[in-house]
Amino acid sequence: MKTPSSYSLGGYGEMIAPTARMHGYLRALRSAIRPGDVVVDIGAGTGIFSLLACQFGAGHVHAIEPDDSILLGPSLAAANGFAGRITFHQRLSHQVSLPRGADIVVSDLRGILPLFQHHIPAIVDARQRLLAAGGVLIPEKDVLHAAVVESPAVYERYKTPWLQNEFGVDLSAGHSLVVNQWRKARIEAAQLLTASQIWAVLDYRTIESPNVSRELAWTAQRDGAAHGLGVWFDAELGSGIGFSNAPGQPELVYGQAFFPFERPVELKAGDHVSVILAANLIDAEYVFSWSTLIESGDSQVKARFTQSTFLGEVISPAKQKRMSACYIPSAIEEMEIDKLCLSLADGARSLGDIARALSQVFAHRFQRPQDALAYVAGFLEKYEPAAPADAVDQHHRK
Amino acid sequence: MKLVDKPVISRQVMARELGGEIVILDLASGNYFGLDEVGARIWKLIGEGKTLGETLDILLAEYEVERPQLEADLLGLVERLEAQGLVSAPAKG
Repeated sequence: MKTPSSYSLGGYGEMIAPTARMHGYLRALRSAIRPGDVVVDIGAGTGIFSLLACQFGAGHVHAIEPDDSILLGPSLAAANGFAGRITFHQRLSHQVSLPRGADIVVSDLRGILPLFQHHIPAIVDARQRLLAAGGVLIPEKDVLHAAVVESPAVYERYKTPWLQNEFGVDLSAGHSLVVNQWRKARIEAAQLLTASQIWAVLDYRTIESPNVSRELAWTAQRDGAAHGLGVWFDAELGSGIGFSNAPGQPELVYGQAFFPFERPVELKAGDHVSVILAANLIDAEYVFSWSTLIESGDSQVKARFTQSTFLGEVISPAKQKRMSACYIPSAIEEMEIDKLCLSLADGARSLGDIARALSQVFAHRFQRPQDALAYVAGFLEKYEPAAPADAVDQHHRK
Repeated sequence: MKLVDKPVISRQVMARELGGEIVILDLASGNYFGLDEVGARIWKLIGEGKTLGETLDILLAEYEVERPQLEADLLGLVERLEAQGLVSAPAKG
């Protein structure tokens, strides 16, 4: 579970805790690796799976991680006697090419759910380009489950301060937005009002689309207030090895996802709840949508909600317009500045050279040289390669 | 589509309103579409299950515009929405 931009070293450290997740990956790697195998570790963090792969006899490991945390990897490899057996690539996996297909690709690119950013496209790309024919993917499969949840404590975050606060102010307009936002939660088995249903099976050996949509239906097993849906996953890592973060299982780093209803609905045992639950990868983030119909046992409609993370953020009409394919951007000076920046970044000029040129042409915009330098450095950062050269080529030339 | 048709908004579409205008997200394609104030009104009437003829009558009562012009604008907009897969016309009014 890695987000290149949001994980601290401490966060990576917590993920190495001896939980069912780590034990599962350890057993799966040990089971899959044959002496001399080439292993690819995607979203390697500091390289823990890479180190384990070496322990289990991998001939060579490619650790791929865009975050700076990977810079710790070489010293950890050396400390464990694996220097020279692990090549570290500070890149995104789709930017990496290998001289031969890997025997094993191991990854954990999940967030709270496996439907997280570019996890699935990255795995599809790795399966097609980096994995040898007949190679092994770890994990093989994630199975997502959902159930109706009674959790006043979790729902409290949607009520306070929006519907109730001690300051006597009306903040209810915010409630209509926040109920379209899901959050990480710790859900107990006793909080489930229904049995769980399988929402999706993500079989990484065959998956192509990152999008998921399915209509789920439950019958309430007991009376209670339905506050929303709990969603979690079971991981199948291979050879019958896996772990679960279902309610009632030992706590893992992922937690569960909670999708709130617009308002709590009192259920009686036998009431029916149906939800069309969808996740669509739009740009780099998922849009989750959940349309809910709750009926009594004799088919009287008790509630009907249409919710989506698309409806859950404060966004200005101007920004909304800029998201439309029909929108025609205005030509503004900022574009001219950026154009000049790019034209001067020719591989020969320093940041200082570019900043000086910018401050001369746009003197009214950059009144101090350091202002131009800060702007240029920030603007060009996204184009900078994380590593000075392809580490794979360097390694194989040795 | 014709005035007797009752367009249906795709289940793959989410729409949100702010400042009287509407932005539509097509979950299937990931594309966004913007509707101005009049377009937003038409979208809402479609969402309420009105036929295009009923929508036309309501808009004629709300805006100072000649019927032929409004009819052409309405059918033109619905044609574009249909071409993008945002609405379809399975049911007759």
